[in-house]
Amino acid sequence: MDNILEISNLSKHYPTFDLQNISFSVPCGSIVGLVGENGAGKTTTIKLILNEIRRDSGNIRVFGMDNIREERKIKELIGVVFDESYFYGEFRAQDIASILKKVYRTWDDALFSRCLAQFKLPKDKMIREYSKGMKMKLSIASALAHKPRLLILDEATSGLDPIIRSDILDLLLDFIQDETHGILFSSHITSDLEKVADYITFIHEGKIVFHRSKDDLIYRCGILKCGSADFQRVNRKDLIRWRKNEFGYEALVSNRAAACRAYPNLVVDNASIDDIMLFFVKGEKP
Amino acid sequence: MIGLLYKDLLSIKKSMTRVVFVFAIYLVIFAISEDGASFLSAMVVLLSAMLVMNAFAYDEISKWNYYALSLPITKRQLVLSRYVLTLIMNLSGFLLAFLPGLFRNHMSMEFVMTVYCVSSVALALMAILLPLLFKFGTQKARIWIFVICMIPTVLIFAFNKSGLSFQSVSLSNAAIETALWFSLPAALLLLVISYFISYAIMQNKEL
Repeated sequence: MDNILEISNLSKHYPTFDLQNISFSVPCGSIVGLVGENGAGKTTTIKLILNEIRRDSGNIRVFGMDNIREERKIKELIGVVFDESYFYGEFRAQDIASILKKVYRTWDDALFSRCLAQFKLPKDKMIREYSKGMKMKLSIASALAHKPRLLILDEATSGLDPIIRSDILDLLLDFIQDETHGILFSSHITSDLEKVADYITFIHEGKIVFHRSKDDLIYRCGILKCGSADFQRVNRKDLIRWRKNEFGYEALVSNRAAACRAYPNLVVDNASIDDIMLFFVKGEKP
Repeated sequence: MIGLLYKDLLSIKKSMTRVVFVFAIYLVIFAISEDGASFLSAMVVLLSAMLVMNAFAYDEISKWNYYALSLPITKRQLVLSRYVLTLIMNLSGFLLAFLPGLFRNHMSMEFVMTVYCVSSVALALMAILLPLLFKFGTQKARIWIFVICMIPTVLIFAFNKSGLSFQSVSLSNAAIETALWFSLPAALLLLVISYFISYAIMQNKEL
């Protein structure tokens, strides 16, 4: 089994929004970053994976099993972290452990305690007294302590400071050292994804715009910058998207090295995931 | 399932101790005064049932259900655990309700019957309320409680207006007693039906 999570042709219809034919996969030993604007369909996709809402069509296989038919088996092996803590504020970390111990067969108290210690989380403090970062760390510790093979993070790092985010990213990289593990990481903090993701899946208005290896994406794509006269001379085939701004034209090119060779007088910059997203959403098709 | 029940009991622990505390105070007061044991018993049974509502409220505050479904927990278990909790709370209330009687060494058949019937009423009330809680959440369901409590009042009012009087319906004491014994099985049956309705509601609900 090469893919820990496989989504094919997934669709879900809402009165004001449609998730259309989503297909992508999370290969073993990799982190897949799910990016897109707010409301692009990231959380809907995750809810569908977790069978919290019903899909209209398509297929989701986790560890090779159907996500609805083998729901319980699958969920024993998944750890999910949402953008906020869903624990009741009067609980303490040890209460969470005693609840989840009765929920997961594979719950490991010692591992949970180690995670809490690593995150410097007090066991006997009420959760409502935790800061946002602490709550998030608690959610992550709770998601790891039953030794899942697939981690699903839905905006788990948004609203956290860079230090905590970097701690969390280290933890994710550590988790992925085991080749049978995988992570689906939805985020709009693309700099985080640039650091850890192996693949980037970009959802826009309920459709997949691309699903590509991150290195391929940021090392190969580039941004060509030029004035109006030069832009007329550029071969449209080299461009993915272009935009006009007050200083001239900017265009996303699929092959930076080739663009540099073809247009030695023009500036071709590196493209970040942010830039690429922006071009796909706001740019014009050549 | 066990995990869910444990979580519920943990979250309503504070309210539970509060109910027991208030009950203890009243128990002392009633120990000094002559009667009112039945009233006190009725109160504790209904209060225990109402604690189940608190569990719903806490879940709403923390959006627990959304998280719970990411765990190896099914919607069926979410629903079932609430019904088991209802039964546990009802049974606890039922047992507590005998305390005032024991306290005053006053265990008449009438007293036992009162506790028994109030338990049935509490169960029936929860049987109606639980699907509403699953469907609308605690805020909107609260309004429904008033509506449900109004129904018997309205019925009695209508009954009086219709010209019939209670005297005209003559039943022997034994017949009434038999009817009352049936109240609990009837309430339990209602609860089972209620479970299936709640389950259907949750199945169709998109969180």
